[in-house]
Amino acid sequence: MAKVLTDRAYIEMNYRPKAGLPCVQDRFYEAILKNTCETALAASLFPRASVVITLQEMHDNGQLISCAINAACLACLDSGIDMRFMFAAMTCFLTNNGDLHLRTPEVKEDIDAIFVFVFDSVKKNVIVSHTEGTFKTENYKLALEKCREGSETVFKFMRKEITKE
Amino acid sequence: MPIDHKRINPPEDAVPYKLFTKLNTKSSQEQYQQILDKNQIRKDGRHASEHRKIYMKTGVIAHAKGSAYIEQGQTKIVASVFDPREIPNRLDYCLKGEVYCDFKFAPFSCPKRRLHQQDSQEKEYSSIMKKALEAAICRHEFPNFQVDVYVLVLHNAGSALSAAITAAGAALASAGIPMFDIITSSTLAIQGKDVLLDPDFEEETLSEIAIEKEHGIIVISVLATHDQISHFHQVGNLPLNVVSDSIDILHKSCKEIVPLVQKCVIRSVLAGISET
Amino acid sequence: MAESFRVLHPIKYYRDYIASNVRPDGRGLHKFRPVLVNIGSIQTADGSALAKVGDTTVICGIKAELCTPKPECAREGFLIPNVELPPLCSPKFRPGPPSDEAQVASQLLANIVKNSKCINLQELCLFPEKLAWCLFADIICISYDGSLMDACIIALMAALKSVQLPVVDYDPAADSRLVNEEEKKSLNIKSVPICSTFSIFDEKVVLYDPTDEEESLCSSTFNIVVREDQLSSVHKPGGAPISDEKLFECIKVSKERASTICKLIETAIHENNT
Repeated sequence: MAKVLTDRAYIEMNYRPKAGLPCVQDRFYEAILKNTCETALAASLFPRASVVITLQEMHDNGQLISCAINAACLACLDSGIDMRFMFAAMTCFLTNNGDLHLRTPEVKEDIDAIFVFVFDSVKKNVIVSHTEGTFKTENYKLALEKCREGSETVFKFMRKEITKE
Repeated sequence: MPIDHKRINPPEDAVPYKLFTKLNTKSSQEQYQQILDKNQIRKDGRHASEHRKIYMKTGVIAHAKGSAYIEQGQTKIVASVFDPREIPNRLDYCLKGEVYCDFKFAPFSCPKRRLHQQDSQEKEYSSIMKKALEAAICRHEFPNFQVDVYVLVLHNAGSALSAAITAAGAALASAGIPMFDIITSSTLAIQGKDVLLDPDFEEETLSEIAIEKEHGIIVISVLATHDQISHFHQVGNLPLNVVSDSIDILHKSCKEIVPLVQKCVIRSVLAGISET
Repeated sequence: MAESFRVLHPIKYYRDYIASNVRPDGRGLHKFRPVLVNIGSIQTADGSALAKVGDTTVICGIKAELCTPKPECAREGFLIPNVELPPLCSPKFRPGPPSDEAQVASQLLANIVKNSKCINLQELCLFPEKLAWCLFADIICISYDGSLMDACIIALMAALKSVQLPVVDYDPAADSRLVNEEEKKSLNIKSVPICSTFSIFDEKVVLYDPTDEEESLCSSTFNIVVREDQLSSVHKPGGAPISDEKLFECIKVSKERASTICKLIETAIHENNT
């Protein structure tokens, strides 16, 4: 009851790791997911209500956070709760020879930096930016463009999946 | 130790490096002999009956109703007080308001690293503070409400409890909580015939050990205007006459701190007036 | 009158101010608050620093302990940063285990330390597989008024720079350790990452260095961490979307601010040593 918000719905996010209790790293992901869903869902239409979103990690084979965000978006779409826009996450890898890849490189040691972006489906603006490693501004700019292009595929896929039913 | 899921966990076998320094073979008795010389002068140049210098400032925390920072020698403490608030999930009516005290040592404040969870000493100090402050606050003014007092020790160089009570008193006063009087507090360490006012960390720890038969630490808090003692706390083994002499010394020292707290509170009031 | 309006209609109150390009505390929209650094005030810690960004005050104390390295990284020591948001610092926090905000701040800080490679953990190793330093960096917020990360990183970096570790003689054959406290060495801090916080108000106006009140009213808050002329982290955990143009403007500003604050820390260290 303490969490009731008078002007909008309260979004409760539960991110559960593969095994054991959630630790600090999981809380960190949880905060990103929560903030993303809060903006995407039209929460102000449902004051004094709460939306519970639970994500369970099944298996981590790289790009975990992107996958979790995309799963959350699909689940929100499927729930039928009004949304302001869809969102899609993309991960991009910067390797030590200066190339950008959307696929996880085979050799972990080659990775200089990892970028995760989430875009909205309307204006394609950045909702989430999460990075690992140190990089130049130009690389960041290029990764952002690359991910924005890549996110189109994800949006197309989501639309296709939703219209299927 | 169980894994704390809400913090970043260190390796389990971490031990302080102080354990591996060149062995300190001095017995506590020998250590104690160095504390006071023949002329009753301590290591830091103070006379046995001399209090350390105090620096005090109120209004250090932006969003607290009242707050105070105290520096007593090297001991550094922050205290904050929040508005009286309703006690959640309380069914019965309570004529007197509650005081909630939370005393915490920062992990890096003592020579040995403190843990994040409140340990038994911190719990004991919290309850002592609560008892000492309750007597100074007009609790009948806010029935069924609770005032929160939080104290954090940044650097413990001895007499942390008494400095904390003095700071909390100043914080309460600057928060505008109705009080009977300004509350001040002082510590005395006794070992045999030696009586040390406002002991530092080493003097404090050595007085807790029974080197001689009569030893101990006394902390009293005083409401100076009416010459009342709001709380008395003692550890160790002391005969009656020593205790009553100690109270006189402590009482005098507590009274000496009062003008300082008064000045500090007046300054914060004046600053509040000039702002509006 | 103004105060009750502020309490009853905070968003409207802010909108009116921002429409005339000024904030209630008298700052322009694109102004940072003054920064203050104090080093080495806690003698019980092996390194300590206090950082103030406006009314946000953070103290960092570092305590060193000895431990065995992890088997998977046998040549590395540890740096364990934990951010504490005690109930003392703001009425927002209650006593008990760390709040979600504190946990997120701890993890973000740990990520930044790792990403920026400001400290080489291999230098904290005394003997592979046997002995290493574990630095406990406890960052405690004393007064909370927004832009927590800015203050945390300044305090942590300044404290790391002030750390003095004793020399340890380790004999692997006998597994004996002897700590010589007379001889002390400082850490080799390669670079200093600096964080800047921004908030997005009403989905279009970017406020630099927001206060606590601004952060709670804004739809999004993000951090940009700069190390020298490179970026260490651009952390935007959701919230209102931002256009590229505004994002890169913020990155540019963060770079300028970082060099000023780096100089400030250097000066503080220098004055502490002399």
